[in-house]
Amino acid sequence: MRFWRTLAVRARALVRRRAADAELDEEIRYHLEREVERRMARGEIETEARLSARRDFGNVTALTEEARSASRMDAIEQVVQDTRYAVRSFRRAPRFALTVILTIGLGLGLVTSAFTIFDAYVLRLFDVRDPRSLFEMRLHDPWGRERNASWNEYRALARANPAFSESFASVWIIARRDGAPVMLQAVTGSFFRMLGVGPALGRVIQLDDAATPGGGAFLVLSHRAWLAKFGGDSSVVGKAFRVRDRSYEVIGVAREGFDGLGDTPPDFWVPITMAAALEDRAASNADDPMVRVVGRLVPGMTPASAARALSAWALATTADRPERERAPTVTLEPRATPVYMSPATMLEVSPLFVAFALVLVIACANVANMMLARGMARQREVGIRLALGAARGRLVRQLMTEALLLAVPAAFVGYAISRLALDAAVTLMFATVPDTFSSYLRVLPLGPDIRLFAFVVGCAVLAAVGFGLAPALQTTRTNIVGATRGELSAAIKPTRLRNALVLGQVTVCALLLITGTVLLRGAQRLQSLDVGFRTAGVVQVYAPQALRSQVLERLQSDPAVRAVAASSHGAFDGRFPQVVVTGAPTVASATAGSVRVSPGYFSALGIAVRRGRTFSVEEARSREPVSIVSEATAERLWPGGDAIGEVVTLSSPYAGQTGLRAVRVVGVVSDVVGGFYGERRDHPMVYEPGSVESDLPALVVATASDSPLALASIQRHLSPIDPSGSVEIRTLDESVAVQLYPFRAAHWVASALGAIALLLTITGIYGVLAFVVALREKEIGIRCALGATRGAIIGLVLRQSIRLAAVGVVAGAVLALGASRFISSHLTMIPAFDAAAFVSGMAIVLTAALAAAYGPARRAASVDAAESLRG
Amino acid sequence: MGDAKTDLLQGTLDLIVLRLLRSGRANGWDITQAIQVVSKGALEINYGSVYPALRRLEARGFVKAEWGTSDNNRRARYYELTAAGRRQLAAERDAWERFSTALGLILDAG
Repeated sequence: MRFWRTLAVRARALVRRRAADAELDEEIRYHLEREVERRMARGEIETEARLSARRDFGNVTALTEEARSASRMDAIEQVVQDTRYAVRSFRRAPRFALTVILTIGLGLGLVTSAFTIFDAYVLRLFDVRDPRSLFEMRLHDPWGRERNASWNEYRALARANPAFSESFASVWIIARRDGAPVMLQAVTGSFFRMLGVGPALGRVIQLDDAATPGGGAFLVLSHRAWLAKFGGDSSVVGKAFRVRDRSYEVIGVAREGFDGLGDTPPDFWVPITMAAALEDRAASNADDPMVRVVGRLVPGMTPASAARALSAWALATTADRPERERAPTVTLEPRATPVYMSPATMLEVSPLFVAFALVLVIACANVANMMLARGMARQREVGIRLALGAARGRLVRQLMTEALLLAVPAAFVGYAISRLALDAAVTLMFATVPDTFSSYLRVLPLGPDIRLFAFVVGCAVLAAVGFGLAPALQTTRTNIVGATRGELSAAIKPTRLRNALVLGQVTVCALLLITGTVLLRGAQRLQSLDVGFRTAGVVQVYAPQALRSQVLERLQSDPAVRAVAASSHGAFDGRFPQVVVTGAPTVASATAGSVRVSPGYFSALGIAVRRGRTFSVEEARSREPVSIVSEATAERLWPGGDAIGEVVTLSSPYAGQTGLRAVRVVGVVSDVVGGFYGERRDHPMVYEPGSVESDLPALVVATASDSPLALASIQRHLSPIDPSGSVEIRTLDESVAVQLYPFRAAHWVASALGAIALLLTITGIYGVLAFVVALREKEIGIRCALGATRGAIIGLVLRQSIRLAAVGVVAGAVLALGASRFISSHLTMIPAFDAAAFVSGMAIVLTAALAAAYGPARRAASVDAAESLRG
Repeated sequence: MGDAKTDLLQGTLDLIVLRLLRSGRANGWDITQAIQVVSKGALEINYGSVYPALRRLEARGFVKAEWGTSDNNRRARYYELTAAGRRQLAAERDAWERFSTALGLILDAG
């Protein structure tokens, strides 16, 4: 209320300055005339009265000016004044200012790093024409399973045009060139025109380029690849470039800042008509490949209505096909940013941001405590200023100006830290990710933008309020008499606030550390996970069908190779296709992973045959209806009984689909992990026979030596028949390492956050206790004088620390319980309650609290009773 | 912050003006007369410095002003305490009393 009135007066003073000046003149004129009248009424003559009235008034011009500036004393002037005052006080205490800036800067640096990544992947719009109207289309079969559109479906869609004003289809291809993988996106001719992306050099792909199947051996470089792979050489246009044994003409370079429409920036674009020549694996649907379709919504159409229109179209188009190929539902996903996150997904990832933000909160608590301590020391100054008539609001505003002034350089420090941290993190990631994977890794540019700037500034201001407001209110609640007399400690008692701050710090620190330990132990558990088969020295080779027999021959003649087997689905290549296994005598059934393997598969991978036998070569060649089941399958279907000789029915888990077949069980093998590393081992498995010479895509090669050597040897052997590197060779150890990587990275991040939180908390506890000890020196002196031992004094201070820490740790543990339950619901390897992690996390925090208290406690114990009482 | 002496004087005059306005609305000249009467002429101040003080108090929202007619039927600017001004007066009075007591104690102790 008062604020508004003040504002109104100031605004009037600014806007109607001239009018206000006239008012002032009139007011002064009135005063002088009135004074003259008074004096004349007392009998003075007019000239004399005028003269003395002016004399009593003082210097009219100077006072008029002073009155004017008094009413113009506006917000800006006060801010300038406060700023000057604050800067002066920082100059008196530079160490304090520096500590605050660095502490808050560290916290800001962490949240800014997290936000930079979030911004680059989730918030930043693609630099293309009207990105918000772009949507990617996904089809769903009658069982809700998602799939992409096929090429023919895309062409039908482009003709029918139910919801898109324009659209393009694309295929992602990874090829090898000079040993390093290159990312290609094969696109329809409409791609560049639709996105409004032009060339930086030469030209981009046009409609005609992608008109005839197999034609259009053209290639457009991304600006990044042009700089990275060709050093920005402008003579590159027109040159020939070999990918997968075909020559492509480089027709241009796409403009800067365009990295495609995905989270992985491609190196080249080629016309989609070249996709068949580039795709190497024998796809079963080679004549109608799957493509990714992105379209621009017809103006005025909502995503929901477009999805309805597309669903109706898809249902009609696929109506005459087998049920499994029908697509009654179409969904649209926004393609305005690299990663689309629905509000629900954002909610899912928010705990991650909370973890980062909590470190900032700890930093703020630290600084708030420092401010409180400083406020105590400044009580005399504040008291005198209050006594001199300074309004409390004005003082609070001044202290807040100090906080804000510290937050501004902290924002710069935070930004610098985030830059360094991100650079280090990206470098570290490339250095620690398994070798074979690092060349596939592409990171979006993490450059700053206006959103990032706003974020940093916003966080800095929030932090300033966080660490400045409570101390400012507390400090100005001063007893003036006491303060001016020099009694500093009795006047204000911010003990409760101080304790609450330390308590909060310990809570957050315990939460972060316990969660970090839970993740760490999860990663350790994963590392030593027994997957049920040998990974050391085992190499998986994927060859294009055209090369397969040659590759097999070479592998079999390689002296380093112990055995070659084949399977329909590689180990750690994602979840095996699922089938429902139904036992004949009972009605029991189980969902099991299904894979077709050659007879040598089990011995190559060291999977033990528990009962019965493996497949015979003859069974494999003719694909007899026999099967081998895992122990888990046998246990589910025939608990306690014998599986050998039983007949089971295999059917698709999706109702209405074909694929019913009866097979006889000839053997039982030990359990294995059937899918990604880290999945459960006791999931049932069913193996069916196939020969190693058939078209089973994954070749499983057991070698005599360890993995890196075996890999090098196989690569050497295969390179003469595969100069373009279309054969994929991976050791199982590498696959494990790649799949473990996210867990390792998560625990690194959690550990780093926990360590920083711990460091801040230790300094926070130390600072508070040191201050409290200084305040209680007199009391401690009295205790000493009354006969308290050194040990008793140390115990006194330590107890205070432990009491706070214990409450905080328990609170943190309760929160961590919720956090680990949340994590375990997303990562099956993390248990909902890991007692050891909780105990060790809590122990670390308690120990740290004790250690932080030890210094102040010793200082307290060395208080000289006589000395402290005299002062 | 300028030097403490002018601060003190400014603060004091502002306090006096606030106190005088507590008994009702008044114009600048009325206030100068009241100062003269109440302090029995003991305070040596320029009457003119009342005007910067009034503007300061107005800018801080402690008084509000409006044009009115004076007892001799002339247009004059009348000032009135706001609620905030009343609070400020109470606070400053308290503060001043404590300060002067404290100062008195210190001076007497010497």
